[in-house]
Amino acid sequence: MRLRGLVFALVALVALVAATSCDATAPDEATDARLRVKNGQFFRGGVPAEEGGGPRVKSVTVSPLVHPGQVGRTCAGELDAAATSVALTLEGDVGYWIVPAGLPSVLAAGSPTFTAELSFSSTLPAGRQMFVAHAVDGAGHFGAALAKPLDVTVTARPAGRFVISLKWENAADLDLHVTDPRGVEIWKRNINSYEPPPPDMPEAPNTPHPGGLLDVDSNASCVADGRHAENVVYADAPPSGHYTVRVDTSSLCGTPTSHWRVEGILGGVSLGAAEGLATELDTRFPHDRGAGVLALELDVP
Amino acid sequence: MHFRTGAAAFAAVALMNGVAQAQAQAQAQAQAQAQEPPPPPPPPQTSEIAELRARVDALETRVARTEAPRESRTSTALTVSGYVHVDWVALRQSSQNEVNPSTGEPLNENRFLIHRARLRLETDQGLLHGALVVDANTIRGLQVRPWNMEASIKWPPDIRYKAPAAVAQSSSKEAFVIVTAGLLMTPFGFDVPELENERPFLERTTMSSELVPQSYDLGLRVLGGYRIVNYAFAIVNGDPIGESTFPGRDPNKSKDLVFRVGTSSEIIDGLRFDAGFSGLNGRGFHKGNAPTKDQLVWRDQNEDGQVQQTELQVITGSPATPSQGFQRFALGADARVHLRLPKLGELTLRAEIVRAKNLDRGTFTADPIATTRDLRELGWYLGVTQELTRWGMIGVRYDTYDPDADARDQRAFGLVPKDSSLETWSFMGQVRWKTARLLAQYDHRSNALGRDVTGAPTTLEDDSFTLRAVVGF
Repeated sequence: MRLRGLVFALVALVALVAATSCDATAPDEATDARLRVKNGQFFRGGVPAEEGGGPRVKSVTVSPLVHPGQVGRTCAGELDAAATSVALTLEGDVGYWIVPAGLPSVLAAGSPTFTAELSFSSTLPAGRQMFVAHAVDGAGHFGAALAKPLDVTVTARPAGRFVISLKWENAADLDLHVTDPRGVEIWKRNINSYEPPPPDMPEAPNTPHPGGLLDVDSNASCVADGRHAENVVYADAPPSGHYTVRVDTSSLCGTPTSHWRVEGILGGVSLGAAEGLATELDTRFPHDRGAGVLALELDVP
Repeated sequence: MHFRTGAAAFAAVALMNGVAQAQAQAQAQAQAQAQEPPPPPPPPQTSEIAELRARVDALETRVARTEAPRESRTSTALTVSGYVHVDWVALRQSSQNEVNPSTGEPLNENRFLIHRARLRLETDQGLLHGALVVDANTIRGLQVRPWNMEASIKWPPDIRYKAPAAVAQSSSKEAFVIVTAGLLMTPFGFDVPELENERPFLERTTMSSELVPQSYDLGLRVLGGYRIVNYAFAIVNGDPIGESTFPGRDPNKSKDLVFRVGTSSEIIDGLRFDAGFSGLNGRGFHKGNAPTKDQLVWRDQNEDGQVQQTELQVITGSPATPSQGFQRFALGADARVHLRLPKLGELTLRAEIVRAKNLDRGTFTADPIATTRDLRELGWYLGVTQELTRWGMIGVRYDTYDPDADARDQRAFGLVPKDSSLETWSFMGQVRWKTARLLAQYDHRSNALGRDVTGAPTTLEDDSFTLRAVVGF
């Protein structure tokens, strides 16, 4: 009898404690969301219905041009005085993000402000997306939506007569090295094949410099930029001869391996391609001129 | 006149006494003559003496043979013991099939794991005692590490070695003292030094895990007691092996002083009371920064992918900043009541409270240099366990810990106070058989780590249900 009483008391206590835990928030990394907000709280599902008396979003500033995988885009705005937070989402996304309202701006003393750091999924489809913001008051009432169009542009291979591309799949820091027939190496510390004239032969201003150009050092120093690609582009006809392509693994940036692919395209026709796997072993070698594993050798007529 | 009378009386008494003694001797001689006189012993022969000597030598040899191995066994006695905690986390609300973007660690917690498997080697050589405990677990992948390594001198030599938690809840008829050096249990409060294989609940309270992570620290400790009083003093590095910055090391020369003074007594038959008062005083460490160089940074403000002059910024370098120390302390009180109920078993009530400053060395590491203000911590717990005969036990524990009593939250029109407490309700039930236990525990956690739709801090769901199998040997 006494034992039964103890067990009954324990069960009753569990039920009582469980009943007091209804207002908690579910943890969610939201890696499947198209929009991600640093330090925001994610809520899965659609934004609750707007209410007539809900606070308004007075203004939102966000870059209208984005590309998939972009990180660290700043968004800021002002809210009605009654707002305590703002809900941010992309139209049709799997959920929305709550960002607490901050101090009013100097110019509008009665309007709380907010700032958020946005990132976009690498699978974000190209085209127009609607960025939507709702102000929320202290009672949880959602105000009217303020929508801003975002034009999503998918980064295509740069236009050029001869393009050598390196692509990989994750946040590793890989570097493309291309050595042209003259022996000039194009890489992140020598981003073009231009060789300056001797000191006694100054060239005229605005002299064109045909040759190869490295477009970007992607994920440099492990700062993820969502591109995962580097290209050496010859806008005009490249010098004829033998080209050597190397892939240097500067750092895996915490990833165990990185799968890469290089390809050389001349006038829209592939001259050759190669694939490989960067491992921790590849990071141990020097990362200077001439570094990297030999990935591809091309002969340009 | 008086003198003359006294001397005469003394002479008379002496005379009477002498007469009585003479009569007694005469009677004794008469009785002896009346009895048969014993035969005189024969004079010892040389051969008999040699034989007796040989027998004595043989006996001495046998005694020496018998005692020598026994003595040897005592001096090299080695006890091997241990236990295994196998957990099945059947539910963890914070679990996700993802990896932590900062650390790369998996966020899934719904799994089987070896929470701890301990192997203890122990030798008790009278005056000396030594222990070595090795821990293996799979909490963050397979890990094997030394856990407890200590050497002790104890007095009196015949007392049995006791750990701080055992000293805190026992009385001794004779005074004893145990001086220990090495990687040892920090004697602060009761929850910190309570041994994992004796604790009725799955884990320590949040308070203990944050203030003294993993309980063990390197240093010197004096334990002792007499009758109902017990005490423990220690001087330690101040960097327990579970600390998040310099675990098991010491970045500054300052040492932490820890003490606990307590009492333990059986008030009446079946009712025992233990209580203690603890303190810790020491200096924490704030790591300085190395010098940095000037940096040229491009911020693509108009996001056109082209470098404009206005988008180039120079971030000037900074000189090195020195490391600094800061004061930290903790005061605590703990108490337990053990009531033996007929048929059912022991009912135990336990409570502890700790007030600290700048002491958090776990997840919410306190650094008053970085925050430019002191961080005041407050934690307490209340628990009750009831044995259900010798086969089972149930229990409930509530613990709360506030890592920053002065926390503030930035809201729309100003800073508002924020309750950053972490609270846990633990409901436990277990069945026992010999050295084995099967334990089930539901933990309901409240915190201020999430945000609701209004932007206010709220609980980030983190309840869990765990099954644990324990086997000791």
